[in-house]
Amino acid sequence: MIKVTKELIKELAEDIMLEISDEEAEKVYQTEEKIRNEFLKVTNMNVDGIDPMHYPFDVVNTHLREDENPVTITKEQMMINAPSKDKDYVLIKKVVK
Amino acid sequence: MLKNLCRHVSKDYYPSLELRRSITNKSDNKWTSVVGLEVHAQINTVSKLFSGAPTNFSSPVNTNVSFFDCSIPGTLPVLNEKCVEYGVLTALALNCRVNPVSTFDRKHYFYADIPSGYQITQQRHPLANDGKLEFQVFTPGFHKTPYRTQVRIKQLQLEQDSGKTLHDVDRSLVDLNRAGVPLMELVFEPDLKDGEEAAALLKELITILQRIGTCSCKMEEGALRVDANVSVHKKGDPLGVRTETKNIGSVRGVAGAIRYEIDRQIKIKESGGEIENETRAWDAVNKTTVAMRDKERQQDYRYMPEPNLPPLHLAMGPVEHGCVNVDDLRKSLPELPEETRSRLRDDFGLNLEQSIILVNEKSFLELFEGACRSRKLQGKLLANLLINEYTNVLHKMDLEPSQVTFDSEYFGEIVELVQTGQISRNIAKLVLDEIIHGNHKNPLQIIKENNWMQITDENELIKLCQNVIEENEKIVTQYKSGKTKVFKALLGLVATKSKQRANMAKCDRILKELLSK
Repeated sequence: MIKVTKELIKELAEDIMLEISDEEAEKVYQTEEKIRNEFLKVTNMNVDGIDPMHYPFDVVNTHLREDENPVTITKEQMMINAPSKDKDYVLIKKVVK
Repeated sequence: MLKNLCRHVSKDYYPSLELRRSITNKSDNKWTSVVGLEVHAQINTVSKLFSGAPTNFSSPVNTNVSFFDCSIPGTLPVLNEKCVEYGVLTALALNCRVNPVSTFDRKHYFYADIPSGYQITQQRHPLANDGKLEFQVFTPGFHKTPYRTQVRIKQLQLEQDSGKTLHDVDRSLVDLNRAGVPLMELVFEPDLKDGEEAAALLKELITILQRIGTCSCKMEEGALRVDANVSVHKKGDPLGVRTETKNIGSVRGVAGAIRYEIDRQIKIKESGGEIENETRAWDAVNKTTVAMRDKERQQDYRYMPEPNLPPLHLAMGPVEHGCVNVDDLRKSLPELPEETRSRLRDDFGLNLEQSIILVNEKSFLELFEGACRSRKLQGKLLANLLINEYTNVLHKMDLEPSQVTFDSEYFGEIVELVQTGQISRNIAKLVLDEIIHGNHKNPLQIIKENNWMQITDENELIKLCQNVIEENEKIVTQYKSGKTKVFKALLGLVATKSKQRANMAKCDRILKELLSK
């Protein structure tokens, strides 16, 4: 199992574009440690002869959508969760330097 | 013969002669280049991969969007059946092993054009693996003769496209029209050696995808995008550090970018430098590749199984239950380009070069097959008229073959008139020129109105040749004193004097007879 460190937490935060302080990283680290210890119990289970699963339920995907009659939402609906907009574009802070 | 088709080569970046020697020389101390491609092909559907939003190319900003595409909480992906069918069809056409069960994964990265923070893809258990594609490499003007090679396909996976972000001075603007558009990612093994092979592979792939209808391959609309991995090393050494040039949007761009990149890497290594493992972009205007971002620290995409999509089961062989039936799809495969090339050679007597050119240019093949449908035509003559006279007229008008709709019935009629000796090939070119310029009359009418019927009357041709001999004493003297090369000039003068109407085969004989007297 991957070793969680404060450095790893900071690295992952950077990947998802979050800036976190040392205190916040410490707090996340403590939480992660607790969760990790719980998961460690799972590693003690005997899984000999059991194949890894990709999906937890024994179901087969039989429903696919037919490729017809495309539908859209309105521009107003589209902007529901947008931070701000400029005409028809979603407007965000500049993401490249 | 293929002069017109050579212009596609000259516009690209061209390596220096020294470097070309250094790459092509077989000596052990010379550089070897290794090229691999990754292709993103948009699946030809009306709705997206996991949502019912449309996929139209030219829709206004943010109008091809569903709640799922903008990641409104609670929305779930529902897989588009046609995407699975077309993915399987493509895999079969590329001789891949279709997997009876494939799965979807989340590939996490945070960027505004994917509001969910992850792309749904098939990294771990893709739709298909281990394909193989054999193709002909032939760039007129670059290769003297065609050669056959093959490339392995590592995997074919279904995945979502991302949206588009435009960057302003201090802000970014997001358009989600493309977010969730269905893509097939085709990962090719690095089995190619240069840009020409890559371009030939791409042309073959485009012909296949258009033939089976799974992708429009309109590169100008972003429906087919190519990433090229390139490295160089010396024979016997381990492979060199590779660079990846992303999102190249044209076949010529792929050839040019790879040639430039091989050249650049060799220059760096020759001067003692090291190649950076980096992502680069092709600058189509300046014909160079430029660094985008370094890949020293591999980004952790934290792949995880997509919990909202159960494994995708396909019906094949003894397994009858599945989302789509692979065996039925296999039966529906049309004739593929390699089969067409063979058929053109076997049934019409074309040579390999002709069959390659016809199959690479869809409109040529349609004209060829359309013209043959109702007439018994000589295949070689028909192919020659297409590749030479027709292409020449288009070239003079600065037109691409795809921009012209030429009635194949008319084309067949012109070929038949040449075949039966009623008009010469030069006149055929004039007729083609008339029709492409908008003359709607049928070829025979155009020929009659212009008095273009071939002169075959023996006496008339003798008179014509005699006149040319009398008017060109100097050339005749040169010929008689042993400079037989000037014969072609005299023959050309006969053609001009007859306004291209003389039967040149007969003139050739008559002129020789008259000159020997």
